[in-house]
Amino acid sequence: MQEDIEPLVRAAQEGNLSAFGSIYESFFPKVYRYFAARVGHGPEAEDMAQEVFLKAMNSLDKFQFRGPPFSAWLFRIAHNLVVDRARHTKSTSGPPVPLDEALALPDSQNVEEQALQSMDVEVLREALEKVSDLQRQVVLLRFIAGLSLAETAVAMNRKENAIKALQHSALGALRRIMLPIVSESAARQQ
Amino acid sequence: MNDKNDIDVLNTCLELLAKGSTIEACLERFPEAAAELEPMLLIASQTQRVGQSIETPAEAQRVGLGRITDAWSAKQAKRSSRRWRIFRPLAKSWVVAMIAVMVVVFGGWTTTTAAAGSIPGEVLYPVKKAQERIRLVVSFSDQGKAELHAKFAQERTQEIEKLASRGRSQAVMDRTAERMANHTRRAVVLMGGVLPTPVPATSDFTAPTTPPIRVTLDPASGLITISENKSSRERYVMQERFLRQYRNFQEMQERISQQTQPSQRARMEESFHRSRELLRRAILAMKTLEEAESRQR
Repeated sequence: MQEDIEPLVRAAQEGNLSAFGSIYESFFPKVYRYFAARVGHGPEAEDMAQEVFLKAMNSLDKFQFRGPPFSAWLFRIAHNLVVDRARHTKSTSGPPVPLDEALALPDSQNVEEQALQSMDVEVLREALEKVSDLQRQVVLLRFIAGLSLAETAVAMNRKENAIKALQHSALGALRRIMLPIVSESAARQQ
Repeated sequence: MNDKNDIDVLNTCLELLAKGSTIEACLERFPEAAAELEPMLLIASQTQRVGQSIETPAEAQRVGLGRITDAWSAKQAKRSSRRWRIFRPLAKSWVVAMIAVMVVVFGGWTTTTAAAGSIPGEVLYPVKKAQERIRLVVSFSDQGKAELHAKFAQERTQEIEKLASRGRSQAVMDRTAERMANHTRRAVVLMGGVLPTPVPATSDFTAPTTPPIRVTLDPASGLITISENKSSRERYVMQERFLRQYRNFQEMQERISQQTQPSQRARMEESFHRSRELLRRAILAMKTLEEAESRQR
């Protein structure tokens, strides 16, 4: 991916708008998914996704190939945007919910699997609101935006081992949080 | 298993899943960790599934590209204005035109790029127009000029769309639509020597000096066929240009249907209908003249 994108980034740095347009077309869906899972489908996610590329365009001259991969660089911009907005809006997510909140796991593994099948983006969002910022970020980058471990590490400015530990704790936390939510959601649908 | 192992095993399985392996295969590989691993891998794969199911809003993506194009043009214009600051006291339209000459002659691209995205009413639009005129002057063949006129007609269509989306005045859009129709007519005249008049006036036309072309329009596809006295490449180029023009209209229509803001939608619809009407009249003029000529023969 990095090899494919490099000529386009170089051309865009030299002033080629259509090269930047190709970068945009290629990354917009991933960036949008990242925001949709974070703030929900709709105008806010759309606006934020567009904003990322405007910021990327303005700082494109500063991007260096010796530094982080382009995708990681782009998602670092996305992450900073989320942080900035949260600061401005004083975060609408409310106080963090402790992970050890009493959430009973179902007895059967099969029930767990069935419940997870009914998971949708709103369920995911609801669950992500209840994990820590770092855990949420790692889930969004690794499993929604599809970044590799190394890219995620660069985007989050952390070592790969730290990302491994974070993804482990994040998936564990999501497991505890998500099952009651998906079970409830499935029950509502029935 | 200790924590470090759990973390590494989970990551190994996630890497394997990313390469196309299955959860079952991972569990078989690490049976001692299966009970702990399975729910986490399920969560990971379901999260990925949810991520992939999020559809990208096409309209937002298109609008974003428009925002970028505008910002890019503004950025380039800012750069070029910094570059040409020394000439600011002389910034009359003919000076702008001279800059365009220099850009064309010396192959520079900064101002060209900046002006290319400009629309009527913007500072760099005169540069764009001057540059177009120069390109027409330095293009010696009719074929070359016709191609340029067809290209500029498409450019005007895109400008109308941008003007509509930015809420500019109807008068500016009308002037641009007139320019679009003029370019279309000139392109056809240059290709075949037919001189269209205001439409549809069979008694009021100038007889062509060269043999006329046969122009047919397929209303379903919008394909205009130019079938006489021109090489196959020339015909192909012109057909491609007109077809693209027709597609521009189709795309514009689609965007209108997606526009939710009633006032903006009404403006876009109005300019769209005016542009399409002008193009239709240009085509009708050609056909009317052609029929009149064949009757005279």
